[in-house]
Amino acid sequence: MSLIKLSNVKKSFRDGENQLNNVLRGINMEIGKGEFVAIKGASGSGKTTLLSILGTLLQPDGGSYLLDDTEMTTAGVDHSMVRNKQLGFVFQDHRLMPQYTVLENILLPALAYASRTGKEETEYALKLLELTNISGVAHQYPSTLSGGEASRVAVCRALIMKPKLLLADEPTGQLDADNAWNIASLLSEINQNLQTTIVMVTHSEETSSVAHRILTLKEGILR
Amino acid sequence: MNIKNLARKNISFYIRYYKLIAVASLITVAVIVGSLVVGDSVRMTLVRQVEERFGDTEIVIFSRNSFMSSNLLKTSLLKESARGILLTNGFVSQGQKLIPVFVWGVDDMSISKDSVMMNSALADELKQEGTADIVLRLPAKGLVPSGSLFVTENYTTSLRLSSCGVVDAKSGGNISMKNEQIIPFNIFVNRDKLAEVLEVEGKINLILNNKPLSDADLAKVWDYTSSGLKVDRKNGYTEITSDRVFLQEEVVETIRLNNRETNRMFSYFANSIELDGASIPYSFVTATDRYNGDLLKKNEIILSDYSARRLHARVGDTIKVSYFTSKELKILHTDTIQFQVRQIVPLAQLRQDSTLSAEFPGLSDVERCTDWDSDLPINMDLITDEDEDYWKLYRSTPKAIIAYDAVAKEWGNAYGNATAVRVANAEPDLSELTPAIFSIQLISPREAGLDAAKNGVDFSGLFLALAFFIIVSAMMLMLIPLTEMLYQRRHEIELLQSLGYTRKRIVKILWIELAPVVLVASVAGVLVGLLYTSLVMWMLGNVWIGATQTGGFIVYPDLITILIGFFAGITLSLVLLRLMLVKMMKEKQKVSGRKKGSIRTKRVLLILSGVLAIGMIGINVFFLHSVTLFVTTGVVLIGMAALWGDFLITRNASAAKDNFHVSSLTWSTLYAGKKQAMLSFLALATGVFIVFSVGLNRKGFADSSQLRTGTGGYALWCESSVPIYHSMATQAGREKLSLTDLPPDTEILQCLRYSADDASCLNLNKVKNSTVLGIDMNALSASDFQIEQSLYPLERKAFFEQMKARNDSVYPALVDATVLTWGLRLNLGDTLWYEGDKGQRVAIQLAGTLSNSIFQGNILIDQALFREIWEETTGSEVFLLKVDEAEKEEVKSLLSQALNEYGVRILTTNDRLRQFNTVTDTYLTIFMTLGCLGLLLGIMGFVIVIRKNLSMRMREINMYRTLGFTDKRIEMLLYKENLLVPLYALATGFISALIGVSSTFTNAGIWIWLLALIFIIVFMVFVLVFVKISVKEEIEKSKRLFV
Repeated sequence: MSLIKLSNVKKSFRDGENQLNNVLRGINMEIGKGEFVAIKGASGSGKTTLLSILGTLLQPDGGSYLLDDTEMTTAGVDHSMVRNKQLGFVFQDHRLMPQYTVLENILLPALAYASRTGKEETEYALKLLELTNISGVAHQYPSTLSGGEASRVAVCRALIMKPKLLLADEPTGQLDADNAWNIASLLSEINQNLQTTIVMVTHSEETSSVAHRILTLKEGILR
Repeated sequence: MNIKNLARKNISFYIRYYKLIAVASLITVAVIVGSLVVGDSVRMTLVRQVEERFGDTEIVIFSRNSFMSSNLLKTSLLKESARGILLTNGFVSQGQKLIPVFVWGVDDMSISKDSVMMNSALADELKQEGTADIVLRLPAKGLVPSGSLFVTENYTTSLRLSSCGVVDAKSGGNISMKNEQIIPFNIFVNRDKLAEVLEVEGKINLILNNKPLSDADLAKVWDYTSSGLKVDRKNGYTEITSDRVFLQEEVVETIRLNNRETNRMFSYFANSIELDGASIPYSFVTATDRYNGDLLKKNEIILSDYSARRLHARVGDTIKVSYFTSKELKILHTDTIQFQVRQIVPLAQLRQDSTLSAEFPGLSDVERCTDWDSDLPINMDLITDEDEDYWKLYRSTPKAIIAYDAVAKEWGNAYGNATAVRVANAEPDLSELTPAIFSIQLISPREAGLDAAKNGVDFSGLFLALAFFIIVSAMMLMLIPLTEMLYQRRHEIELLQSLGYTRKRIVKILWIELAPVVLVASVAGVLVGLLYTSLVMWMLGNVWIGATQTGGFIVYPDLITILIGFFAGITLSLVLLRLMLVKMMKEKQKVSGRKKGSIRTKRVLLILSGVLAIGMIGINVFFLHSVTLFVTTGVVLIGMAALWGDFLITRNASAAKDNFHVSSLTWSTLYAGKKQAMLSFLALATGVFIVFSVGLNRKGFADSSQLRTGTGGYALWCESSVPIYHSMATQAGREKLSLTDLPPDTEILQCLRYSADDASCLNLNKVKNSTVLGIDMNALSASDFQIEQSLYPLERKAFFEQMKARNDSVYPALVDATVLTWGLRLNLGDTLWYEGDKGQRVAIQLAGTLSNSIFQGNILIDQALFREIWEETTGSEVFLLKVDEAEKEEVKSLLSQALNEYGVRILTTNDRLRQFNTVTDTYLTIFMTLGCLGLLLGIMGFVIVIRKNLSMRMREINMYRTLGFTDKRIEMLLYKENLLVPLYALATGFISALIGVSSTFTNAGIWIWLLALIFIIVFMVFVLVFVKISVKEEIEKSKRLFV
């Protein structure tokens, strides 16, 4: 049973000289529930654009995107709600807010539609911290964290709303080999334990090795 | 965890931005609250002055031209509540200085007959200490109007009095009938003593009543005797006379209407009565409707047997009677009229009727003919012993009786057309004589004063307008950190969006951060606003006293006003922030790649704004000459420069991709921070524009042609404390006034004055009725005064002819353009209502305006029309002289000496114009000061942008270094980037100001240009030094990043 189904998805941008640049030339892709897929590709191949479309941050110029059988390209879909309730993001640069503690950073998605977070959410956040082996940093500020810890916090934040799909954009890009492997393993564990579908964009052979399936994006086409 | 916690943390994390937003909000609220409270404070100061001026007086009974009997005060309605005042003008001479004063004759201040009290303003002026003596000069009044022909004008009477104290404002020391904030110089003397000196014993002309009084109440307490009418029952008739000799035409006609067989009588002084070479000089003659019950025909004369004998006259002979007449300023004409002798009566019969002749002071009451004291040029050589003998025996017994209708028109004067009326009724009906006929007015001074004070110059609006640029700068200062912060938080916002936060939600979070900051700052702004008010009020009463002409301003913080200011300020801040926030959040979602399209749009906009600006300049220079349009043009030019700057940055940054060179780096950097750069530019350029446009508008008197249109070519402006009843244009008048040494070609324009409120910019109160000057329109037409606007599209001469004609019952008037707009706040064609001497309502229509002139404060109507309204105002208190520049000082000195008795004050017209311009200049100074404050805020914004830009670029600086750029080259790059905006802003602001004020900047004196130059240099040096230091500092700091 597929969670994601892309059919002939296209995306192009105009560059500074007003030239049309076709980034995605017709992507067809199906990802099943609970699957862990890695997408590889050279720089500029359109990996991040594809991930942004999957994350509903960008709308395709053409084609169809079904997320859990719901068409994402039609008008009327509340993309913010989709992102908040069904998707989780992990970025290469973690994007932790320096003014908030780790716990607050993790709980941030819970405030997208509510004025305050509940006890359950806090407990779940602490559980995620425990799960990712960084329970001691809950009340620290991001500036005091190591790169690996920051990545784990970012993963926790992505999981706080119990998403169906976790999108990771080069999650290990800024980490050393050990930490990169740890994060990759963590994502694999999450995939196995929480049954969260993961789509990960990466350059790294080692990181992509934890995925069930590896797709390569070249000149706007998945191969 | 909740949103509020997040917001609190965000505020504390981004506190440096929020601090600036808070400062800007604080300034906005402070300026708005401050300006509004300034308005309230000025208003309340004026209201307090009204309270001080009138104390507990509710109603004033004022007799404008004559006196009232003090017996009025004994009537039951006034007995307990009224103060009777004898009010007159006068002056105190101190050394060379003549200080015009209001002399209040009072009976309730325990002032002895040889003492005087004065208000604090006069005491300060005289630097009076202890009980020094004061020489008070008073017009020699008497009951008979000084302007009438036979009365000798004895100029002034001196009174030496010793000062016995100062009457403070709370005790009524500043009492005044005028709605002006300028504290009058008041002197209080014993009323009986004053009446004695003025020869008006038992008379008053002002009643201050501390209870309301209606017209009906006044009618109850007043009767004709209160206004000096005497009714004497004689044998078979009743005679009505006045203690001022002349009976007003209105009085005479009212008596005639209500009584039977009325007989008007006019006693006159004839120059001669002649028959075939025989002549009797200087005789009293009486004109009457009937004699002994028989109507006299218009050409009939009745001679006494004495006269008949001297003239050898018989019944039927033709007798010539010559006499002087005068219609204005005692300019004499000799008229002769012929009569046929109807009857010769015994002298004893005429002598028996003792009131056939009126009692003229100086004529009737002397022992010998040669003692006659009159303004008439009596040739004493013509008086014979026979005349003296007659005088000795029969005094003013008329030598002839003539028909009233034959001479009434010529003999009648401004004060009346009869000296007595006789009626057949034993009990004459005088019920229709009203106080208004005697020009007695009932005035509610408090009501009028409070209305004038509350609706006076709107300092709230004025200061809001003057401080507008501060508010604009504060807004810019608010937006700069906001845009900066949002830029800094762009990744955070992207993250929140990726976490599922809607744009609305993100705006809400930012709003939750901003709103409390603005709220707290605004509350603090109220306090700062009150401090601002205190400072402004102090400045208005001290440093800027040129605009207000008064001190002692109070600060009146009204809660409602403060709340209005607070809510206006906070709403302005919040709305602006909200709009910017929403706009910027929307922009974040837009896709880039619009550069080419936007360049095209910018080019079109630029061309359009250029065409608009050039069109506006052209239309204004060649057709409209409107100051407002020039200023608008200046603003459009700044907008055009902003568009040009935007276009240049966008185009050059775009071109950098094709043609990459060092300056491309500068353009690209500017493009990246374009929003902040544009905000800084606008703040600085507008500030410079305001400071320069205001500064260059100050009057420097470099342009003599502008001076001439303001002075009309007249060199001296003179005002006397006592009216001058003689013409200075005639030899006789000059002789009378000892002005024979005046250069013969000196042109003198004598004006009549109806004294009301000063409508010049010196008065802060709302002026309902401005002082009116009766002026010779022919002289005005021939002068250099410039007509700015007119209801009649006529050429100059025809226009002034039109000004001499009454349109039905509407009198046309000229008014100074400034007075029309600011003093009266009316439009051309509007009508002012006055009360004439007969109590009639008079409409005066403002039919034309004069360019900024020495007539500020007054409205001008034709002298002949003036006399129709205020016929009893026959003396001139204002006169202008046209003399050669070389003779000016000499004439000034001559006038001072000759007219010293009249308390004359002489001012060069240039100085008078300068006085008014000082007010304008003071307002401009206030504007400039506030403009400078705004500019300071603009500079603050600029400093913030520069410091932020540089501190954010430390890594970039290091990157340049790693690429092999020398520190010198990096410094030059940064220097150029940061200098472009302020220098472009300075040039734009300056050039826009020059174009904006081009209609008037030629008036700016050399020192103003010098100041402008100094300003430019200081500004440039500041910018150059500041940017240099900042760049150097950041380069040094960036080196530490390698450590």
